Amino acid sequence: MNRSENSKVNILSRLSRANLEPVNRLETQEKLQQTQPVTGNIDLRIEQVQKMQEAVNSEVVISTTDTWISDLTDILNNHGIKRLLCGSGNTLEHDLKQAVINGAFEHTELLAYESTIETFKTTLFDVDAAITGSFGAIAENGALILCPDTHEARTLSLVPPIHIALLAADTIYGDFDEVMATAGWQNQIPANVLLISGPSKTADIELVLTHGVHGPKKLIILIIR
Amino acid sequence: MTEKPYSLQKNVSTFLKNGQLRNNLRFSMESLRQKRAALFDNKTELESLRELGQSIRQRSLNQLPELLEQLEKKCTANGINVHWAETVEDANQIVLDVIEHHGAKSVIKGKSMVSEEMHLNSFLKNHDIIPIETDLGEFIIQLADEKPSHIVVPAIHKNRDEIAELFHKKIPNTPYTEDIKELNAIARKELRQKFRQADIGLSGVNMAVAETGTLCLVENEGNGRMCTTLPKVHIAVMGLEKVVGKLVDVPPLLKLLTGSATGQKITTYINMITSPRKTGEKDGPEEIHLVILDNKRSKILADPQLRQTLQCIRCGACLNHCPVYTRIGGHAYGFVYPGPIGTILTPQLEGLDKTGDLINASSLCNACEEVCPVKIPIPDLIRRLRNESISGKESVEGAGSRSSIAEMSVWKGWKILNKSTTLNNIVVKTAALTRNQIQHLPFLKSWTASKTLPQFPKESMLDRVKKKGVADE
Repeated sequence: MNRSENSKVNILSRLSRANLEPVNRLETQEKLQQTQPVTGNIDLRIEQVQKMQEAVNSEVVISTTDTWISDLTDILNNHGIKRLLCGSGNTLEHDLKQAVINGAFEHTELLAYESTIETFKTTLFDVDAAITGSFGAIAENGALILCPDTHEARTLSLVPPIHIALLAADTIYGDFDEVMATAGWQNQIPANVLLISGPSKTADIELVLTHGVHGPKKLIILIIR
Repeated sequence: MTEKPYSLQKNVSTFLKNGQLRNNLRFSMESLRQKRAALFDNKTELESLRELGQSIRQRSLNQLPELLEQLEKKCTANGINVHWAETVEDANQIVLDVIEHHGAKSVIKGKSMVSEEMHLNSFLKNHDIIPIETDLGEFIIQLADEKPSHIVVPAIHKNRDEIAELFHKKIPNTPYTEDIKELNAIARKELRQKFRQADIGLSGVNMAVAETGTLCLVENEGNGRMCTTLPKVHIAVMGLEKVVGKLVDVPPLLKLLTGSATGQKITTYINMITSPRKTGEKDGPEEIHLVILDNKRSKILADPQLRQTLQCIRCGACLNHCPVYTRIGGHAYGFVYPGPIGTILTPQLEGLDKTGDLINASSLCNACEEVCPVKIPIPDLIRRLRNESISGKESVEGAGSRSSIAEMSVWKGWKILNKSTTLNNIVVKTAALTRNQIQHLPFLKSWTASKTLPQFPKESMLDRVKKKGVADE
């Protein structure tokens, strides 16, 4: 037995001798953790997400399935984004590439995160912005939910200074409890789940808030109805 | 090497004299209190949430061995290597072994109080490994070669001009600037290179979910995600009490944590890590190591009352509301954990004999208990530790070490004095007559140093009642 296994045996044996009593889940806990009925229609939820995100300096654009390419073009132009990174092998990449073929994003070069970070690092740290989809969002706190996978890397929403995220309006949950109760993650949770509630920030110096630390300086959410 | 036991008196004297520190603390603690109050403006909701938090944490502790085994099983199945460490020495060695196995010479660190408890940074330096703090507050104090003074905002004791000076002196090619945006940009630039090149990243764990083997981390800056996502290897260090049973336990605890710590509904990033890079993924660490640290926690768990210490989710609210902490700051507490949680945790980790004086760093005002998101009855635990320190039941290391013959004699004398009417009368009358002389007595110095001795009346209350009677008799 190596030291770690030895430690495990000792630790668990001490813990088991600790006179622990089973504690029933509090009644209030049951009540609070019951799935809340879906409250608030889509419009209210969109409004909530917009309000919460804008309060922390995110940019929110309400768009539709027909107009999002043109809204995205405006965003790219307004922010002077010359190189935009997207995931690879998914619908989003396909749609963006198609849009480029159709003449969109005149001033922006589209790149796909196609190889592993080891060979892609220079590009990753060099692009102006990255665009991702999302798993959904949470109305109560405005958080965007991302589940990076084989198509969209974890660092897409972390390294480039601007993060643009597409959010389908009908994937907005009421609160985090609702997500935990309905996403089915108890059985199979994604390798990495991210809740993103704004651009990176800190108040470590005299509690003065500054935005744009190590994560993206800007978060732009395109809510698509 | 025998160190002198911790002295509260010494530390209080030193830190109370620091006017700048007191100003910084007064301003920043008030700000954090206001933010929390502004968020938790509905008392009923807050109370329900606190009860829920207490229930979740208590349930976790009561199932601790099962949950830890379940956590290990799930983590292992997901590709996370789980290590167990009884002592901080064991934990440090595990971390070092991983680093050396990969031939790395440095490690980027997210903020972790457990790593402070391990004294990991000095251990690594002694083994020629460079620890690089990436949380802005930790980055600042690392440059200053200091320890954190607060659980959540480690550099709260520093002003912008001190930080400007620090950056200017210690970071190459850095001009002096007190502009906070610019200071921020300097740190960002300096650390971005480190993020890019790092082979190993180390983090703490805010909570670990046994049900799915998921490590949850909260942050605002993004440095945590940098440390846990960019390098090939991620090492997570965790106190064994941080495990929770189910995914549904996470949202309420997160609400309590972020709300109590900084008055935020949610932090910028919640990072839930369940596995290293899967086949087909472009990034993410190839190896994740979870180090589960005991360091006396299993002993604390054994005592049903003191066990509540382990409910702590490290939010720092008790610090922000403590009249003692807000005047003397974190360094005055001498050890890793300051404030009310420090007064009960440190003696249980380091022994009442060496650190017992910390239990006097409280006026039992109850402010901490009122704000603790998981309802730890801190003042009760302080009282318990005070009892343990005098007449311990051996539950706590160093129990009974603070009992003294002198103190016992004083209380014995006091008892006799109050049981005998004659003696009492004599003492009362003498005290009244000799008050002006008594006040100079050396044993009264700790009172008279900052307070005036009361005037002792010639006639005791009892005598006056006997003479005049009571109005409503």
